Amino acid sequence: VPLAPGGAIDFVARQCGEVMSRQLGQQVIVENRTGAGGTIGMDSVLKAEPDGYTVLIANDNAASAPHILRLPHDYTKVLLPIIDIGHQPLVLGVHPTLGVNSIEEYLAHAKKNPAWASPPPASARTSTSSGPGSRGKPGSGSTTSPIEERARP
Amino acid sequence: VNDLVAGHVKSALLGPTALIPHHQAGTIKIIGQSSAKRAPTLPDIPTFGEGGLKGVALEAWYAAFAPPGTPPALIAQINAAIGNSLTDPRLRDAFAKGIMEPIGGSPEQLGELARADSAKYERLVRELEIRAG
Repeated sequence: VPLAPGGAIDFVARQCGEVMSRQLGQQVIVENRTGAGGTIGMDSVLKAEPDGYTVLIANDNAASAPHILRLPHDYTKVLLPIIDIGHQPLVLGVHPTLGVNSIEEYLAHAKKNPAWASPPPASARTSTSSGPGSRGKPGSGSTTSPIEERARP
Repeated sequence: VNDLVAGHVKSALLGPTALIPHHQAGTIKIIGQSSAKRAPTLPDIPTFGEGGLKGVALEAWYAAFAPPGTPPALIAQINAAIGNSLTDPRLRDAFAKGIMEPIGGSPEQLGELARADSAKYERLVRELEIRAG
């Protein structure tokens, strides 16, 4: 598991690991090897013994990180796929003080307030959208990286 | 999540699990989900497309991969073991609570999905000039 305990990758790994331990009668150990947005853990599986005892549980960062971070390898091309475990939508959450109750109102708000569609604070740059209309300005910092560790328990 | 609840950021696209309790408590409002169709575990939240934001559909996936060189017979064995675990009722209950849809399937199906997403991200990173940091 390339991200921290408590996140969604850790969640699926522990759920499957627990059931597999029971079904196989053999202990499955979940190890979190974190750092560098998950690339340390993913890299460690690239170099692991191909003996069936090491399995990477990753998310779609495995497909995006190589391009965003300009890595020398594409995980989706060098790692061997085993099984798709689970899917999850992302959700757009708004603070009540924004006074927006739907996607329609959100789009209208963004059109009316171009200045509002500005980069989020650094502390919040974790898959955080700054509103439609904020992209397409290279270097403005508004294209936030989905590669940082995501808290998706 | 904390910045959103505190109002330091007014909107954010995030994983659903941590936001659902805040949505239920009214401290934040979830106004849309990013998948093409409403997730079975989030039937009451409209998709972006339903809300008029067309052409935006993405789903986070969680999957198992083996080190290069792992023999196909071992891959098949692990695929079956993980696939079997996804049929466990307690696991399915926990997945539903975590807004996680169990998928399963063959290694080839995951390979196609992962490579298609990689190609998509390669194009997005190039066209939007996305840089880390």
